[in-house]
Amino acid sequence: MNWFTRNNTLPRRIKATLAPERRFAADAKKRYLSLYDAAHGGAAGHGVGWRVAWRSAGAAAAILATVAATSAFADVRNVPPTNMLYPLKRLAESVQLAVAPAAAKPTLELSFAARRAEEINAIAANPDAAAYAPLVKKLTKNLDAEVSSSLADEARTPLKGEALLKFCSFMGPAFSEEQATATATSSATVTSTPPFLLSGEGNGRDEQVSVGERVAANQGLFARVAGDCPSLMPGGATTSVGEGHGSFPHGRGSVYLPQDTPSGSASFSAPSIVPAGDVSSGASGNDGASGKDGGDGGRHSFSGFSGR
Amino acid sequence: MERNNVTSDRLTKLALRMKKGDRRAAEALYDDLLPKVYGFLFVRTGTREIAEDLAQDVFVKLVEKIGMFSEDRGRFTVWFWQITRNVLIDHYREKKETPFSVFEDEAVEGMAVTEMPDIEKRMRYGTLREFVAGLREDERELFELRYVAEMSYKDIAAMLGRSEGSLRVAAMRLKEKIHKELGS
Repeated sequence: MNWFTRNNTLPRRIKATLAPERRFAADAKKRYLSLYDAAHGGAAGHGVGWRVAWRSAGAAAAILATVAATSAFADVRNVPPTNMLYPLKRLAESVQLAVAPAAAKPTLELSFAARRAEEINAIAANPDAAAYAPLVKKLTKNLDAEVSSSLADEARTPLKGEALLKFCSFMGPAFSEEQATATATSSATVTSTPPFLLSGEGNGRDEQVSVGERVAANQGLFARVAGDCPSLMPGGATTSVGEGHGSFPHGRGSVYLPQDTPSGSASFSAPSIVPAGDVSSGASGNDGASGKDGGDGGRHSFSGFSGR
Repeated sequence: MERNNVTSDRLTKLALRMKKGDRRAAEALYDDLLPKVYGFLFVRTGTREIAEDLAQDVFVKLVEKIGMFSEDRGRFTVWFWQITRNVLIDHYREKKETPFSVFEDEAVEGMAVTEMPDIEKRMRYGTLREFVAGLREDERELFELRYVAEMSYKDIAAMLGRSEGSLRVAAMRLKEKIHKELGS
């Protein structure tokens, strides 16, 4: 009686006697499931598990579409960093960068850097700017990274033709003469337009120098691109790429390129835009004085220039 | 809780999923029920071929009628075995064949030889046939439902309209017979 108390079923060998043939069981199962599929109009192929999976996929797709649409909106509207949609704008930028062809990446990264610069400027113009110091610091780091990436990508995939033209235009008109002028005449606070304009004492200085160092490290590259720009820009005028400095003839400002990083100079930074009117003075050569802080009203420019 | 009750609950859940269009549930039900249905029909008809035909008929009925199954009307196991019994009854009505338990020994012996070339299996089958043939009608029914179909006392009671207590007592006596004649 042991097997009864254990299992309460027939002995295994007796059960085996009553078991169907394997082939019959398999064939009958196929017919049964075919019949079931037919009875349920093909939907039988998707059980509860599949339906759950489909619903989950649908929900995920809906969420993704919503995020994508909101990100696109945030991107198009160029929302400021203080806006709650700002992370989505950055997400949209990341996606654009991820899907962009290699040749377009430097230009794209530079355009994002320009955005960061605008954002920092906008915050600086805010009466409560001091409250946003951590945010400014973060944005400046982003700016630094974007400029560096742009340069690195350009090194891997040198820009040509239309892409180079875009790159050049970003280096110029993205930062208006008004901004440059304002920066040039501002006090030594963060009111300028990174990466091409500088801050003065204190606020954000480390980050600015960091940008400058990165640009300096790539000054040969920068100079090469800068050298290509004049011939591509409409009008092709006023470019002088030679010893001492380089400029872009976009009519409103010029980009000064570093040749040497002045040793011990705290005022060294990224290439800066100066009003077109300043180009001539800049073109007169590098006397090393531009590396000094305060001599140009708070705007720091590069002491050196690397032409081609 | 009795193991067969747990199985019954699981089968009911599978049936409800199958009703909603869950193919996997339909497959799981088939895998669980086919050996029991086939064994039940084989014991009843004594013919492998007929048992196979009828087993297929049972599952065709299951697909056709699953939409009518409702938990409110009882557990799936009871509902399903009622279908099986009806298929068997229809078969007897149409073919006018005799249930296994009243087959003549010679006919069963001959059938067993042709359908079961495996001598050992045939001997076990012969032993089983003799055992079932020696049961009373109510014992045979309990044997089929409890030990071949592996239904719970609760479901058998619902199906046969008997009390669980009386079924347990009858099953104890049947167990002794099984142990004595079929061994362990």
